[in-house]
Amino acid sequence: MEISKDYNKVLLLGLAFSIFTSIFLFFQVRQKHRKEKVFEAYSAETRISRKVHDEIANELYGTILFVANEEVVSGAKKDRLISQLDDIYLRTRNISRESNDIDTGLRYAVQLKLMLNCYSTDAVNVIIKGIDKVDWEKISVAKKIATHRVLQELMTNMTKHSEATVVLVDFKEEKKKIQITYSDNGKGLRTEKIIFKNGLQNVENRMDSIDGSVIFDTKPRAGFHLTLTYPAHTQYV
Amino acid sequence: MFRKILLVEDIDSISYGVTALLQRNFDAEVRSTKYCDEALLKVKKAIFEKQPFDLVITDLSFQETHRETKITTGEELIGLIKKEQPRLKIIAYSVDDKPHKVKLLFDTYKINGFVAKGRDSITQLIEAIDLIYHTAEVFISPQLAGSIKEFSLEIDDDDIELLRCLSIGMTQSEISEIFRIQHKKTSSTSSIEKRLNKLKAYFKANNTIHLVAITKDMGLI
Repeated sequence: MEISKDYNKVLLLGLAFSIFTSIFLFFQVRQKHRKEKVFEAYSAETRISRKVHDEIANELYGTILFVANEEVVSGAKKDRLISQLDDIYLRTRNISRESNDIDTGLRYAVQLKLMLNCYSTDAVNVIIKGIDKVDWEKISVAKKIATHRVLQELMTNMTKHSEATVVLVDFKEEKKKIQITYSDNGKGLRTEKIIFKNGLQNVENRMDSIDGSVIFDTKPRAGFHLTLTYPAHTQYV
Repeated sequence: MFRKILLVEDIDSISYGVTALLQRNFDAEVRSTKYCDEALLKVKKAIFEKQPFDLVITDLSFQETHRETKITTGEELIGLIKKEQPRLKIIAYSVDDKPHKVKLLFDTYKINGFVAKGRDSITQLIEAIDLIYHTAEVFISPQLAGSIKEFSLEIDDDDIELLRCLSIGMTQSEISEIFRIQHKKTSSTSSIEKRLNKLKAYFKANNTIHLVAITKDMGLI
């Protein structure tokens, strides 16, 4: 009786132990897998971008030069052909640029600022706040990439659909969390809903991959507002 | 004018087009190569023969080929050329016009020109060559000039505080007083005025009331 009781105890203990270990392992493997997935996606992106850039954009440009120099066609047709080719060329270049490689080292903040600045035109003022207050050096590569891409996505959508004239991107580091608020004075989400859906899905996926969240602020009276939050330091991703 | 020009470009049609253009417009000896390694060798050899190049036009990205190469990007090549012949003028000629990259090339490698490949790049290339031959200025494709501007529209917490104070009806002199008590860096009425003007310009506001309305709508305050 005594022996079998002890035996049961040992069994039970062993069982509990193995359950705990497997739960622990499960989470660890999942985290690792997640991290790998983020990097996989990023490297696939940069690889495709490079291919588009090297193989298509460059060849197209060569074709433009060829048409411009040679007498393949002439007169008005030539101009039209060149301008059509040029249009395709610019589009290819944009695709390549949207998924370019990102400097995640010391120049990260400078690059992020330049990227945001790019969207500042005569029609739109892009205002930046607090970007240098974040200690970027301590933020992981995956998070830096996700941040850059998400903001790029938001800015592209802004130029395409929002008709905004003022945009503010506000960076904060509070309670070990990075919080980035995007607000513009454009048409707002209601009218943009359908067109914007795809881009927003990307934003959510990317934030999800780094344990972050996306919150839409519906309170303000005009424009489009959203807040991205993610932990500043975690062991994985 | 430049007498000896080296063109580094891996796509035949582009190389052919640019060489033809250079020969048509300038009375110069134009050499071209498809490989960065070979370009560096050519530069070294020219120095050795005491007939150095005086201009290099190079692409930034090169497709991988069966040939094994040590130098794989134009950026590396530019760095190495500058080591060999620091005063050799260099124009980067590329599809790759990411602002930070362009800025890096100017800041770190002190290149003399950046021409983005595009519809007008032929005329731009000629302009660039003329400019850097005759002056010490650098050339940058006009469509990119805006994208590498140092100047960005930035605001800070004090700006938000100023807006908040305005929105609750404080006058500028009251705000100045509060800022002084809080030991903020800029608290004089004139610097408050300055801040206010900056904010009006950034947020495209016609007057202070407009500014408060805009920032409130945007959820800043």
